[in-house]
Amino acid sequence: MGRVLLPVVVRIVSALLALALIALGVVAIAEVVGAWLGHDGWVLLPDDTSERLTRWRWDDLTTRWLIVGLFVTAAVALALAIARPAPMTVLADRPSVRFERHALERALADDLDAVDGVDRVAVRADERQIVVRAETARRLSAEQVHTSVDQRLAESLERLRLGQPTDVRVERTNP
Amino acid sequence: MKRDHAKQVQRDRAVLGGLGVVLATLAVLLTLLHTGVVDRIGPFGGEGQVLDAELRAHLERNEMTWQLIVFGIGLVLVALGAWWLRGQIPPLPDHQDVQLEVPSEVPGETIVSGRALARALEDDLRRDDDVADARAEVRAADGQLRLRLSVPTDVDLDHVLGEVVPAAVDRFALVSDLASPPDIEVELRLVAPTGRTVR
Repeated sequence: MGRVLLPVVVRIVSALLALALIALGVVAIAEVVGAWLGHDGWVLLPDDTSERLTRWRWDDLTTRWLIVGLFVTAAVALALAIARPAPMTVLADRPSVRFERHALERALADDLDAVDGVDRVAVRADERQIVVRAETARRLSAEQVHTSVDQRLAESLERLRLGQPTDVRVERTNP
Repeated sequence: MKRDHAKQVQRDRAVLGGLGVVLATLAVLLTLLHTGVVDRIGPFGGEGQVLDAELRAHLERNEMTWQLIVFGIGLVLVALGAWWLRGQIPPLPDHQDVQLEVPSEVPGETIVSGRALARALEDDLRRDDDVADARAEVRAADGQLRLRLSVPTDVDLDHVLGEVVPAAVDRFALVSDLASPPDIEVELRLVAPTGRTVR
């Protein structure tokens, strides 16, 4: 779920940080332009900003919270930059043809769900691999279900012309 | 198209990485000052105050320089923020108009809107029973055509990609008076045979 939601989270955090950058920039420009135009005092910042900065010490609690805020924001930004999101599309074995990943995963899962013995199935697809996790509660052995799932998956991938290697695992659950 | 969205996410991640490094560096410098490991960084930090007498004197001596620096940083922040924020708006199809060479006694140019050509191509593709929906982005000047087709899961893709699409693109190229066939990118969205997304 995390890799699927990642692009949404990246967009939300990006929009918020972009707004914060614009706000900071506008304040900086307004204060400098205000000074150049001979404005008495601060334009957007509170009137007592100078006194506050004079009273503010590096070992204050405010500084500590500012450091915490900077570290948290930096950590979130770096984590989102490093995390690997799910691809939007998956390349097919045809020139210039791609499948929408989410719809492909659902189509494959729906197909495999119909295999005899499969109770639950989840599919993850990307450029490198197609991973299938299936569960069975039947008295059939997991190997039998595995073979059936493997066969059906191979047929589907052949029909869609997808050449990624597959990783199929079937687990037995209590009925 | 999804590929544009994927590129935007990549750009976002690059900016987030850069911003994360800058913020982490600032946090480390502040931590050094806060814990007293260093007394000062340049003109900042003397006497344990954020704005001490020495810094105030330094700012007064170099007022114009610092104003220009802050103004420049402000401009960069606004420009970067606006560019980044604009990227969060989902991209619209970027159609390119086509100018047709039509012999006519009436002076002027004959230009067909790229949007109109895209609509015509979409309607053409939707006429086939195997295509549930079609979206097209016409970039005739660049010789590119991007298609997003919704096709039922039980459809014969060889028929759609080998016959339906080439035939529609041939008609499109003929109408658009293209000198050479366009490069085609196809994005397929599998939908349930009823027309709804699977499950």
